[in-house]
Parts: sequence; C-alpha cells; structure tokens
Amino acid sequence: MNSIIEFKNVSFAYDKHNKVLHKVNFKIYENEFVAITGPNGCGKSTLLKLLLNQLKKETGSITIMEQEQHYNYQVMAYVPQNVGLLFQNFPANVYEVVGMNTKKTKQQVIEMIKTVGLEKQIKHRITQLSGGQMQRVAIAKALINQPKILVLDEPTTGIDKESMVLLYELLHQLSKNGTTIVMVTHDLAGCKNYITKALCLEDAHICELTKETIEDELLHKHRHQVEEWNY
Amino acid sequence: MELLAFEFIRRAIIVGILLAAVLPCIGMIVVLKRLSLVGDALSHASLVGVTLGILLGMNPVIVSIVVCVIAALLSEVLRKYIPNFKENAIIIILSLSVALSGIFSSKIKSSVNFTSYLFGSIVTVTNTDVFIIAVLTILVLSVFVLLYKKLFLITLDEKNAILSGIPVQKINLIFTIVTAITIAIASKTIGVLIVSSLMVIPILCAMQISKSYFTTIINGIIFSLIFTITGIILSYYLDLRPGGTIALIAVCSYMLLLLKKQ
Ligand SMILES: Nc1ncnc2c1ncn2[C@@H]1O[C@H](COP(=O)(O)OP(=O)(O)OP(=O)(O)O)[C@@H](O)[C@H]1O
Ligand SMILES: [Mg+2]
Repeated sequence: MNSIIEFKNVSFAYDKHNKVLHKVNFKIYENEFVAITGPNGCGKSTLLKLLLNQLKKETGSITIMEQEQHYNYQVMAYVPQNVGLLFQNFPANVYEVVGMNTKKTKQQVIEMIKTVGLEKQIKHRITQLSGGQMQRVAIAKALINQPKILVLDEPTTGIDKESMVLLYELLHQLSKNGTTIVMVTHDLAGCKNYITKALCLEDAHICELTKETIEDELLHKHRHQVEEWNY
Repeated sequence: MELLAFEFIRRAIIVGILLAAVLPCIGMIVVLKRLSLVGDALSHASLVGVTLGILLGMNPVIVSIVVCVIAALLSEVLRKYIPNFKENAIIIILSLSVALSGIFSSKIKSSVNFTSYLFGSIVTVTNTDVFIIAVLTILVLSVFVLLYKKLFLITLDEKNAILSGIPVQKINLIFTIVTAITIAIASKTIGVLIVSSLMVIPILCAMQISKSYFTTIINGIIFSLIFTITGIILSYYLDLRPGGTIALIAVCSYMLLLLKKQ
C-alpha cells in the first residue's frame, strides 16, 4: 500500500545543541486517523510545521502523496492551535469565514456548516461563538475544499467532554470517507477508540503505538505519574 | 443649501465623498492586521515628502507619494526583523518621519503654510486635486474589490492563506503600496494629523454595530461619509478647520457608540 505521508530520516533543530527531531521515520496511509502525542516541548508543533512546509527540514525527506513538498489547498488543510486567538475581533460571520475560502456554491457552503453542526449560528459573528464552536468553524473552513489530508494542532484544548466526543466522531467519519487525519493531542485516553494509531514523540524520536499498545502506554504513564506524585 | 453655490464647497464635498469611500477600505485591513498606527506613521512620512519636495523645488505631492511608499516598504522590512513587536516598526518610522520633516522644514526659507498640511486644506483643493483623487479612488476601490477574498483570508489567518496557495507576499506588497499612495494623497487634502483617524475610526464604529465583514465595510463607508459631509458643513457655518471638525465628529460618534453599548 502506498503511503499518503512519509517522513524518512527527518532531522531538525532550531539551534545546534538541541535536536528537536533526530532521524524520524513514519508512514501514514489513506483513511488513517493518527494522533501525535508527547510531553510539552517535545516537538509536536515543530513536526506539523515541517509537514506544512512552514519550516525547512535539515536532512531526510518528507513526501506527501508520493511527491516531495508539493502542496495545494486541495491536498492539505490546517486547523491551527488557538483558533480563538485568530478569530478574536474579526468581524465576520460563520458563513463568510467558511465560504470565503472556496469557489463552491452557496448551497455547498451551507451543507458544510451543517456538517459541523452550526446551522443555527450561520449568521452569527465568529467572535460571539464559544471556543468549541470557533474550533468547528475552523474545521469547516479547512474541509470545504475537500482536502486529502486534514492537520489539526491540539483541537480539544478548552473543549468540554461532550463536544470532544462529537469532534472525534466527526474526524473518525471523515477518515472513513477518505480524508487522512493528523491530529496533535494530549488526550490519548479520550481519542484512543477513534484513531487508527498514535505517534509518540519523545527525546527527538518517534515510537508508533497501535490500538493494542496504547492501553499499555497509558497504564505505564499513569503508574509513572503516581510514582512521581508519591515522592 | 445656499452653501452649494460656492464652487470651493462643492469641490470640497466631492473630494470628501471620494476619500470617505476609499479610506475605510484601507482602514478595515489595517485595523484587522492590528496595524492601526501605520496610518499615522505614513502620514508623517508624507510630510517628509512635502518638505523635501519644497526644498528641492519639486511637486510636493509626487515626492510625498515616493517617500510614503519607501517608508511603507521600510516598515515591512523592519517588521520582519522584529516580528514579536510589530508596533515598534511603526514607531520607528513615525519617529524617523518626525525627525526628518523637522530638519527639512527648518531649511525652508519661503513662508509655506505648514498648518495647511498638518490639518488639511480640503476647501482649497484645485481641479487637478479633484482629478488625482478621482483616479486614486478608482485604483483603490478596484484593487480592494479584486483582492477582496484574498485580503479577507490573509488577514484572518496568514499561514493558512499561504498553504491555500494565495500569493500572500505579493498581495501584502500591493496592499502596502496602495496604502502608501492613498495616505500621501489624502494627507494633502484632509491633513497629515487627520488622515489616520478617518481611516480607522469609521471602521471601529462599524465594528460596534455590524454583523458581518461585508456590512462592516459598508457601514464604515457610510459612517465616514456622514462624518466628512457634516464636518465640512459645520466647519463652514462655525468657521472651523474642516479636517479637525471631521476628526472630532468621528471621535465623538465612536465614544457615543461605545457608551450606548455599555
Ligand atoms: N521558534 C523557536 N526557536 C527556538 N526553539 C524553539 C522554537 N519553537 C520551539 N522551540 C523549541 O523546540 C522544542 C519543541 O517545541 P514544539 O513547539 O514543537 O513543542 P510541542 O511538542 O508542540 O509542545 P506543546 O505540547 O507545549 O505544544 C521546544 O523545546 C522548544 O523550546
Ligand atoms: Mg505545540
């Protein structure tokens, strides 16, 4: 099977002494829903920036759909961390934000907004939405052009359990319908039933967790934390 | 409306309407990029152009367009070097402009009336001015309409705009140049110290009452038209400076809107 995203021996450092990524290898296939996890500062956002071509890798290769660094909006879309910060004070309504990004018809834009469950808020200003609703606007904006790959950076921060489940279900459905999902998250426990695998980043290396090994990892982490608290 | 019998008042109102339509379009993007002070910096740069023009015996408006464009590009470059403190780039341009215009003006022997540049001279515009401003209006409005979607997406989320294949740098450059030209020309008629407020305040007012991006721009233009026309009429009857009157009406209206919202 051909991979949609492949990192081959990718290394990256902001400065010489601290390697953020060291010879990282992984493959992501079509219809996958992949979670990227790891402690604060381990380089998750950096990895996404490399994927999105916002940073230049030092060595190795990054291929997307068999091509080296070739992008257009139909291939990859991105939901940034802190959507609320971007939407702060921006005087546009939900329809404008989703519809401005596309050549799709009005009806298709409305359909998209319904998919993320915001049909009632369609004429509302984005500044008047809750954090979870803003997140969904950003997802609709990213999805409107039917990208092959959807990249999300910590989409669940500041979102209640219920909206979180709705979001995971939406992403799960999308991945089944052909969109590959790459999501950075600290909530492995919450999303473990929806994802196909997890990439765990630590000390500049990646280890891949399948559905079976995730449980062990979570348990191990839990025990580790309990031990730390006891001392 | 015996007022309209005067040729100079009619010209002032035409120029006022044209600038009132153009400035909020620029202001919208500038406010959303959180660069509201850029108008101030560039209008002061236009003053450098005016003083330099007079010193060199060249057309002040043309020189100030050139100086404004250079200043705008310089502030873009500075912003790249101090990315976390965008507003500092603007303060540097502002200080540099004040310094240079001060130095140049001290060298000018003739008795040119600087206050007319500082506070504007909308009632002394010539037919040539009207023509230049009409051309400018068409230029700015067509750039704004053509780039409407792209400017929206860039101001909302620049990184995603790049990813979507929008030529962000090119569009930012075009927008910067258009802004500089507009400010240089508007400074002469409406006043160096006032152009920035007429760019930003109508949009701030519109943001208080509008429900969408599109209506914010339309309402911004309407506010700006109201401020300008009432400003010109009032200033005539009360014998005040038009530029100052317009700016005062704008600020007071914004305050009232804020109070009403509370
Ligand atoms: N612009 C930068 N310049 C220098 N070092 C940086 C820069 N951005 C990040 N780093 C460093 O690189 C490392 C990885 O940062 P990154 O933002 O990728 O972490 P992260 O895994 O996303 O963390 P978090 O969970 O807190 O979001 C950190 O040690 C950080 O200090
Ligand atoms: Mg991060």
